[in-house]
Amino acid sequence: MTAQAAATNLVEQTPVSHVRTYGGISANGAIPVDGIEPWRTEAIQKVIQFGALPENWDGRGGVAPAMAVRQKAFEYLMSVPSIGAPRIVPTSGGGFHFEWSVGPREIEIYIEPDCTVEALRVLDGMPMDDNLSMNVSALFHWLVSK
Amino acid sequence: MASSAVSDSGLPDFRQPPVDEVALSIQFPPIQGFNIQHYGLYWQRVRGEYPRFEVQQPIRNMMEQFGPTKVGHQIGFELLALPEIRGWYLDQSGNRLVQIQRDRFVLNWRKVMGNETYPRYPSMRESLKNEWDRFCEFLKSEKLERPMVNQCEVLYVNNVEYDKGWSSYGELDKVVATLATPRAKNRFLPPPERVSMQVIYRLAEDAGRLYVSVSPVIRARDAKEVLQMSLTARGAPKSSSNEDVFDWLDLGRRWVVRGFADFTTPEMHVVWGKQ
Repeated sequence: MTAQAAATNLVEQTPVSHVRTYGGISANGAIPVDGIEPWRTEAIQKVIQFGALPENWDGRGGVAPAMAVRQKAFEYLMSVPSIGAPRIVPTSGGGFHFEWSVGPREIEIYIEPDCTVEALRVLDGMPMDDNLSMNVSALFHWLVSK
Repeated sequence: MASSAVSDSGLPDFRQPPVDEVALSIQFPPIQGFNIQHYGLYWQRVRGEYPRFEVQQPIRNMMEQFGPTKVGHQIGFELLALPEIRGWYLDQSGNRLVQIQRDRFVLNWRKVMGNETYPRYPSMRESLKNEWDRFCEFLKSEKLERPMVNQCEVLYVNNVEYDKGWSSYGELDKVVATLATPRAKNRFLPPPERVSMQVIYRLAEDAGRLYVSVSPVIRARDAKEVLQMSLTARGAPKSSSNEDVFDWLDLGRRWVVRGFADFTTPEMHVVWGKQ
């Protein structure tokens, strides 16, 4: 599934970032991980590592996700309920694709190079063309509901 | 915490200090009339040395108070009508940056690649003095008031990597001297998976406070999890004069460096090459 293949939902994130940084006068951008589940830590590490992708990493002119995109990805990963690690892949244009699945339900999240976040719900392998704007908690509530 | 050569002031010195970032900060009440356009006007002056500019969220105003008031009192921005930003002026490498907001002026040095050598405090101090003087000259040329400094701050961020003298949080007492007590046998709890802590000390004569924070972090440059030990000294200079401001920064730096040596174990000092 690609971002262009089906209609996606613009995701409303919570207005307050859950990413804690040292803030203050520090500028090193380290992410405190005390109190964070191991899956979230590993996901954040993957996001950082994808920032080091070389130019044309996919043979199609792919670029590495920029710092602002990675920061958006951190914020998103910290804002979702604790349901386990998503599959994380970079997109050729410099974004991210996250994918969570529970039984027949899937959520695909696209963090675009311009830092917008879009979501696609998939049920039994078929995208749901509902075009509704959904917030994070509603999306994940749908994912785990029976 | 000091760097690779001999000590500049008789303070503890390490050949391979774990320091990852150092910042020196000067805080003052918001400069009246300092607006968005001044960030750009200032960049025109420093662009030769700081060719990159980033807009960041402002950081809170912090005041150390003593007596019946609270530790590290924060002053918020909520009542200010103007949009607040913090400007980052970065050199080409990203190692050095100047941070400016309406009530702060900060000079940072940080590792970007990981193999850079910390340029020693005297060099940082000299750079801050030059940058601060240039900023005050800029304010004067814009007919803005010279800031009345109310707090100074010294921050050292150290990254203590695993498997260099210790290997897990069950061995944190090999890093942190204050935890170095004999381990009881037959304990119910297993060794901790992670530990974070903050310890606050008063500087002599209530000149400020030293905050020591220990916390696991993911390092942004290489995604490596490390134990980050940051030491922040903050307090009020006797006056807003350059002499008093830099005297306080020297005091804060002494507390940070001696505090770091005191807070950590002799075994780790060997790992870091204490001289």
